[in-house]
Formats: sequence, structure tokens, C-alpha cells
Amino acid sequence: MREVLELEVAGERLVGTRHVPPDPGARMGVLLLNAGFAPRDGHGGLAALTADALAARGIPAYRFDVPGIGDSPGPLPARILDFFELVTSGAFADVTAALVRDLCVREGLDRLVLGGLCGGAVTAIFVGAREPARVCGLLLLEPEMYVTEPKIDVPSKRRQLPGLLGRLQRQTFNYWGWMRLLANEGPRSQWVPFPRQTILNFLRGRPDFPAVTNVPLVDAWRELVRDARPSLVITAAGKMPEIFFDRINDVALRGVDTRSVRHIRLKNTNHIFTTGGAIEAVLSHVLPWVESVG
Amino acid sequence: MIAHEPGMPLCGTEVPTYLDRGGLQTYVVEHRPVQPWRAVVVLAGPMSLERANCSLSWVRWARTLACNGFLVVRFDYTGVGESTGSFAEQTFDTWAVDLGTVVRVARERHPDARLFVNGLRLGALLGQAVGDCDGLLAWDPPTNGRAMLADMLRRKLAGDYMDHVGERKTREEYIRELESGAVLEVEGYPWSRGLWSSADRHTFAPRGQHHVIYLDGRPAERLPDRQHGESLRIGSPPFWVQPRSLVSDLSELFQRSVARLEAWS
Repeated sequence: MREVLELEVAGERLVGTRHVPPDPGARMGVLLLNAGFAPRDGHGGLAALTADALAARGIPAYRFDVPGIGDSPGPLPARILDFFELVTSGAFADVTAALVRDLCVREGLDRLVLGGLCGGAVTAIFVGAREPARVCGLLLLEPEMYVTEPKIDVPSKRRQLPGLLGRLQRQTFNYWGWMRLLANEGPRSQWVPFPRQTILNFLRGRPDFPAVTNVPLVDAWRELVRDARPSLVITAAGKMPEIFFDRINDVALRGVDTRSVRHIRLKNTNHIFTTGGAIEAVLSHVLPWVESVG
Repeated sequence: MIAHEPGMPLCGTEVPTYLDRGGLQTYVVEHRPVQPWRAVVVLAGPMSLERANCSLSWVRWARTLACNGFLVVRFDYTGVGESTGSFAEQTFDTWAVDLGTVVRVARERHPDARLFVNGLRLGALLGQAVGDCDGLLAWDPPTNGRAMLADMLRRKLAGDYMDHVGERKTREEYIRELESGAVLEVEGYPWSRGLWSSADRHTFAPRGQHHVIYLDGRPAERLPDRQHGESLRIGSPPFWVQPRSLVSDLSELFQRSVARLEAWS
């Protein structure tokens, strides 16, 4: 059964859904956050289906819209990149941390597993590091450990050429264009002969972070892993978030005990898990993992 | 027209709730303006991923209507969004029943008010079958259900190409699979043979107090029915396929629609 929840948290009106288990009394719940700017049910209903399945196994689950998204009112930038900059800078961490505290008190819970896809995973990491007593595990679907695109396109010092030459220049020096080529995500990438794996292996071998690393996020993530907080990471195999996740982890978690982190790689799917039967695959991994955390 | 922009105070209250329908829960949000309102508008949205993509604009439109003196009811179809139920068991017919139920409940709650349906895509197609309403404002209705599903299949094929999902199939192969009873994953949702065949039973044919706004900017001579239709261009790709902005510029659509609803009410 689902119920609507409306909470005033940190000065914001948040609208969410409670998935009620058949038997009350559980001390641990799961809170799922928005995937980017998608409403709280998630693409393909991923979050709603996950929460339904958790509740059926006796684990109360909650999904909330952050301010400005879905049913929760609030300000919103017009540009999508500006929104992602907000997310990657942790702008939703305060209200989410307040929501975690509020839910625990209202619902009689000791602790929550916190998670989400993409932006939801980013916020979960920030909040998990700040709320060690209440966030007992992290469900990170396609976490993006890097900052958004515009700041690192053509460097400002480089003189911009006009017209077609300018376009060629922008494409030649576009970091993300090259990364999409490496990740095989560009529309023409499969036609370009390219030693992808060799270059990726070379990059992974480098001892430093990529220039676009979201350093505060990686710091929070390292603290969580050092703390041995259980984490389930699910990524789309070979896609850009996974490539960055691997490379950044190679540097950030060097010498850190990572046995609390379980990483599942789903083949033949996309960033939002709407192809290749990914939603069922996610459920098959999430349900036993959450039970093991509880 | 008063346009509601994200971050502005709401022009009233918003009450999200569930309608209990014998084991099913239909998610409904009522936007109640503070001022005396002039009519009820039931918003019937698109299906599956189109619903997620258009969500920000759809909610902004509901809030804009409330700011202009309409009591708005929006809802999620069974198996989609916040409503319960298995998507794989749904058809155009079951979703038409959802819309009919929401309209009936709104009528019962506000028996003396004029009531209009405003549908987008699937919602426009289903809205024409609602008997108990005083007008249908249809945004970009597909010619018929099958044409709309074919659009979505085309996007699946493009996604297969972009995502390198392994073995790629043709549209004909996918359709054969559906017709043979296999469940087909399209944009994350499980399509069934029932859904596919039910689409054939829904063709858009405006009549009476129906008004259509096509959003592709087609010239007047290409309107299927000039008496009931007009067109404007909102930019491509449309906001239900791939939003290019979190606050899409829909001011002309909103203005024309508010004017139409005000004229009706």
C-alpha cells in the first residue's frame, strides 16, 4: 500500500510517498531521492517499483521530491546544466539531511538506507557522510563523481575562431566529446576507429584525479568507505559514469579497505536503466542487499 | 494571464491524495485556487517516459491554471507514476476508465461547476471519449493510438542504436514479438499485446466542444479539422520527448489555452 506524505522540512514543503509494509515495527527504512529532474517514481518507475518490492519484504520505503521537482514546489533554474551544478555542489544535501532526521523521528526508525540514481546518488553520498548515525547504507545507481560540463570546454585563454573553424576548434578541444567517444556514447563513435580500451587503461593507470573530479563529493565518498558504511553501487557497464567511477576510485580509495562496497555492472543498458531489462536486474540486486544491511 | 514560475508562491493549496478503487490506488493532485474559481479542469497527461519528461511543464501548467482561477485535478494512470497497478496489465481501455473515474469523482465533488478535460498526447486521445465534460482541450493528439506507440517504438530503435544494446532488431521484429504475446521493454515500461492491440481502438476525431492545439507549427492547410484546431510551434524536440530546459518556453501555448478555457467557462 502507498500513502502520500507531505512534510514541512527546513522551510520547504516536500511531497513524498510512503510504501507501507504489511507488518509494522521495522526499525530500518529506505529513502529514495529523485533521479536528476525526473519525478520521484523514477524513469520506468524504477524507484516506485523498488520501494513496492522493499515494502512487500517488510522494509518501509519512502520516496520524496526535492524542492522544485515533481510535486514539491520550489525554485528551479531554467538551464539543465545549472540544475546539475546545483546537485553536484550538494545544494540538496541540507534539505535531504533534514528530511532524514525528520523521517526517522516521525516514522520511528533508527536508520535509513539512502539512495537514488545519478543526482540522487550524489546527494545520498553528501548526506550519508553528514549523517553517520542515521544513514546506515547507500544505494548508488549510476553515481556521477564529476562536475558538470561547461566549465571545462574551450579554455578561456584560447582565442575562439569564428564560424566553421570555431566549431571544429570547439569539438577538437571538447573534453566531454572525447570522453563520449571513449565511452562509446556518441552517435558516431562506433564508426570511429579508436583504441578505446588501451586509452582507458592508460587513463586508469594515472596516479591523479581527472580534472573534472567532484572533489568534495569524492572526499565524502572516501569517508563513507573508510567508515565501512555498506554501499551497493550499480552502474551501466562501459558508460561514462562507470569509467569515471572506476578511475576516481583507483585514486581515491588507494589503500582503503573497500569490502563494504559492492559494485554491480549491468551490461547492455543506459544511464537511466530503461533498456536491457535493467530495472528487474536492479531489483534482483537491491532487495537482498538491503536485507543484508538491515 | 498569470504565469506561475518555479519558486513563486502557489496561488492556493495543492492536495495530493489517493483514490481507492477496489485494490487499485489512483494518485490525484487537486490544485485549489484561493480565489473563487470559475471551472474545473481535469488534466490527462501522456504515458510512460513522456510523463516523466513533461512532468515539470505539466505541474507548472497546473499551477498556472490555478493562478488563473481554475480548480485543477491531475492524476497518474494505473501502473504509471504514483498510481499503483501493473503497467504490463494496462491498455488504452483501462486508462480510459482511469480518466473517466477521475472525471466522475470531480463531478461528484463539484456538481454545479463546469468541467473541462485538457489532454496531452495519450490524454488528448482518451479525453475525447469522456462523455461527462463540457469541453476537451487537446494538446498534440496523435492520429490514433497505434501511431503514438509507433513514435515510441521509433525512439526505442534510436536508443538501441545509441546505447549499443547488443543484438538490434527492426521495428517489424519488435511488432511481431508483441503480436505473438511477448512482453516488450520500451523506454523502461513493459508493453503487452493487450496494450498494442488496444491502441487500434482509439482514433482521434474531434467533434462538438473539442478544441485541438497542434504543437508542431503545421500550416492551416495541414490541420485535419480546421473547425476544431489550430497550431503553434513549441520547439523541437517537444518537452515530452526530451526537455531542453527545466522551464520550457510554453508561454504562447499557456496563453492560448487559458483564453480558450476562459471563453468556455
